[in-house]
This record gives sequence, structure tokens and C-alpha cells, in this order.
Amino acid sequence: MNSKERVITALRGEQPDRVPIVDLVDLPSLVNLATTLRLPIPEPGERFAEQELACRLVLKLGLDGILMPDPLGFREIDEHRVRDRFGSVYNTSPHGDEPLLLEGPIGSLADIEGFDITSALSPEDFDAARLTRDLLGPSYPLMMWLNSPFKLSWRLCGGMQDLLVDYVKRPELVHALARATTDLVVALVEGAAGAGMDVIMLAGDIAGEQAPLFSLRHFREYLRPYYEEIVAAAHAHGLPVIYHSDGNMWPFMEDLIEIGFDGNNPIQPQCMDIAEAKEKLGDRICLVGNIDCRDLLCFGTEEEVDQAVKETIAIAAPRGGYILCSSNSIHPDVRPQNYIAMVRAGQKYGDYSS
Amino acid sequence: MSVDNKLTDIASGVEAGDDESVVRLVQEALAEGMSAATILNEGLVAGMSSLGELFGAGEVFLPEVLVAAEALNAAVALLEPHLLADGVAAKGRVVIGTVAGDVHSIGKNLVVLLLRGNGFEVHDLGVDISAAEFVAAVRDNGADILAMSALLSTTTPEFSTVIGGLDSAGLRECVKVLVGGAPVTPVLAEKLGADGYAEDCVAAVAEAARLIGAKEEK
Repeated sequence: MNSKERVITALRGEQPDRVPIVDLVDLPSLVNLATTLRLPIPEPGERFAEQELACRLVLKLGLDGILMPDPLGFREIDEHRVRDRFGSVYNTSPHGDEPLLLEGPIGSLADIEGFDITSALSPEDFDAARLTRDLLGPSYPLMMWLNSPFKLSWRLCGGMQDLLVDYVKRPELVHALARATTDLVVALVEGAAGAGMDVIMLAGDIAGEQAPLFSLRHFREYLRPYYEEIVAAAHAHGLPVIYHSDGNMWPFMEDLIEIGFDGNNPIQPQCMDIAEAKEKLGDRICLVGNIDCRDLLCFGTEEEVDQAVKETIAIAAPRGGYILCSSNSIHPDVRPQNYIAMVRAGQKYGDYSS
Repeated sequence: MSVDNKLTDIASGVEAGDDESVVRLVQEALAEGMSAATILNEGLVAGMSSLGELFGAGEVFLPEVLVAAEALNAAVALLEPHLLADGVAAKGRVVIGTVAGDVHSIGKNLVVLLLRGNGFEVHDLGVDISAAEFVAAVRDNGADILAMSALLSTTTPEFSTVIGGLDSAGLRECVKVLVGGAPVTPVLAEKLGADGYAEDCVAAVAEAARLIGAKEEK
């Protein structure tokens, strides 16, 4: 089985030859890992340096794939600020994290009327994906991270807090934002399919560790119908969709399955027990993740990482439907040696024939 | 309408996040001669406390708490001049922010809204605040409480840096330190040398009140 077959088989809920290993690795972490592994590092600013580095890492470590970042990206305003192509402005983080939203262009229904969000897309948005396909060849799955309508909506209206207040006070605006951003995501799914992508990761955190950010009633009103459209668009092109949200997602899991998501990520270990997830959900949705990147991969030892991967595989992998992945991403505070230990453990314990 | 009914309606209005009705009822109560402190404590804070219990039980979520906190704050703004005129002091002076390297704001913002709504004077420094900025704000504002939030395990060591900064500046004995955020536990809070810990925004208000009590006893 090649990596693409391995990942797709797991996403179908079936058993591949071994547990697939994928992750989202941000640019500073790619550089950290490349330095540790003595891989050549492209010059800073070189076009597609991130994709080249990611592909080198996949090949060097024997990963089954890597998530390609959101294709829309940011444009620099000045040394400290960036903007997205829809008019939202952000402070850049000195720590390499996601930029901090400062303001968005949509404050009322009037602002969104005539707001042609999909016209901001360009065929060049998928150049990085095409390059990755060329570098890795057809035996690897190309997995694309797309921000969900929830995340795109709060970016457009200036902040998550504003959007959550609008959930109660201005339902029409919430629906108008969801409509526009769903049109955008469906267009991105079409673009991704055209560029040869194999898997979509629809991402937008909607839960904290104790509870979801909002009620199941609000999920069903403001998100579910739109998520159904996106999943249907992806499935029409044969692309499986993984839903990503940190936090305690238990109250939403049955709905995510009914919507038709093929996988759920990251099954955050602080609030979702992997054994319970395997028992209650494992035969209906592929579980992707659960290796703790908040404490273990940052502060643990390589032996502790090895043990955690061994235990997680023993629980989550039987009969298939599990992809080894961190509990969010490989971020700059993850020790490179620990990520390498995680991958090596996945390869050691993930063989279904042994 | 009886005094009790008016206060019950104010509390229900806060719980429902109905800022227009809460503001109207508070204006009426003031016009009828009710004391600002009674309206605050037996109407507004009582409503927010009931909602807090539902939030803690997982029966309501952030949207409901946010709109209730907005209603509470709109009403408190109306009461402030009356509280001042009546000689009712703020319950305590709080400097608050998210630690350096951490830009998560929503939990901290909720704590700010609820502390203000409960009669605390709050100086919100924002997110990604350095130890030097926290220390300067504690000194400049004469803070009773320094409240800090972190959402990442990797940023929790900043709590120690700030507490060390308070020590060096000779301010540690003057201010109570309250910490919170997803990766923070009571054990970690104690290890870091914090005086208080809160699991969520509702608990933060109760913990702030406890710390003020402890400070006054001292």
C-alpha cells in the first residue's frame, strides 16, 4: 500500500497495512526539524520554500503526508501588520503563531450585501499544491487545510466574541456571513479538487476544553446546514473531509457523523478520551490525532512519547479507522526530537501485520 | 411594582441578556429611589450569578453569557455615578491581561466583563503583556489583584516571570495574584506562587472577592 492508499483506507474506516502518520507542521517547526535532521533549508523568502521543506520532511521521516496550510494566506501591510484578501487586518505574532485579528470589514448586513467574496480567489492560490504534487508524486495524499465558515465569519466581523454575541442578537447577520463564507469554501474545495488534492481538513475551533463554545441548537442553526453543503461538494469530487476542532466536541459528534464528515481531528486528549471515542465513534468516523502537543511533545521525554504512541495505537488502531497525528499541530514549542520519536513510534507500533 | 419584583425583573433581564429592558428597569428603580448598591447586588449581580450557575452546569454557553455580561455592563455604567455619590467604593482594583506570547483574549474578556459587572474597578491591559508591563500597571494603578490568563502550556512559565518581577519591584506583598486559563490547574497555580486560581470566568469573580477579603483581613 502506498501512503495515499493508506490514508484513504483509514478515512473510509477500514484497516490499511499500517497506521498512517500525517500532521500539520508550521514553518518555524519545519525549520527546527530540518535543522535537527540536517536537511537542506531553502533561503528565507524563496517562493514555495515551505512546501519544499515539508516534502523533504515527508520523505526523510517516512510520513504518509503533511497538511498543506490554508491557501489564502496573508499580505504584509507593514512590519507589524498583515491583511487577508477580504479586508481583515491582523497583528503579526513575534512568536510565529497565527496573526492576531484586529478588525474585520463586516459590521452589519448592509456591509455584506454585494460583498463578492469568491472574486478574491485566483487560480494561483493552488500553485503551492501543484508544486507539492510534483515533488511528492502520485503515491502521497495531498491534504489541504481550509478554514471553516465559522472561523472565516468571525474574521470578517472582527472577532469571535462579536460573532458569538451576534448568535443571540443578530441571527440574520450570522446567516449572511455563513452564506458568503460557505460559498467561498465550496469554491476552494472545487479549486482543491482541480489542483489534485486528495483530502480536505475543514478547520475552525468550536469548543473549549470544558464545553463547546455554543449550544447544539446554535450549531444546528448556524453551522450544520453549511457544513452539509461543503461536505457534499467535496464528496462530489471524491474528496474525504476531516473536521478539525480542538476541545470537548462530544456534544457535536453525532451531528458531525450525520453531516458526513469522514474523519475527526484532533480528539484532544485533555478533554476527549480516546478509548471512549473508539468505542462510541470508531466504526462511524475515522479518528485523527490524540498525541498531546500541549504538554507531552513540548515537555515530555522521547521515552514518554514512545509510550504514549504505543498506548494510543493499541486503543485506537484496531480494525482501522485511525490516523496518527498530534493533538493540534507541530508548533514551535514542540521539541523536534519528540516529534521524530512520535513518528518512529508510529512506524514501530503501527504495523497491522505484526 | 414592588421592590422585590423590580429586582427580580432586573435579574431576569440580565439572565436573558435583554440590555434594553435591564437599562429601562434600572432607570425606573433609580427614579423610584432604590439605592444603587441594592440594584447592583440584588438585581444585576443576582441575575449574573444565576446565569453563571447554568454556565457551570453546561446548560448555557458563551453567547448567552456574553450578551448577559453586556446587559450587566450597560446597567453598571448607569449606576456608577450613583455608587460614587453614595460613597460605595469599588470592591477592589484589578489589573488584568493575557501573558507574553499568548494572544488568546475571549476568556480574559469575559472575566473583565464579569468583574466590572460585579463592582470591581478593572484595568484591562489586553493580550501578549510582558512582565514589565504587568508590574508597571500594578504599581501605577495601586492594584489589589493582578489577574493573568494563559491558554498555552508553553506560556504558563510567564506567570513565574511576572511574579518574580513583582518581587523585584517590592510589590509582591501589596497585590494578590490570580491565574487562570485552560492549562492552569490549582496545583500549578500553587507551584507558581499565585494566591488564587479560577477554573472559569464565573469562578474568577468569586475568587477575586475571596482574595480581596483575604487582603483586607491581613
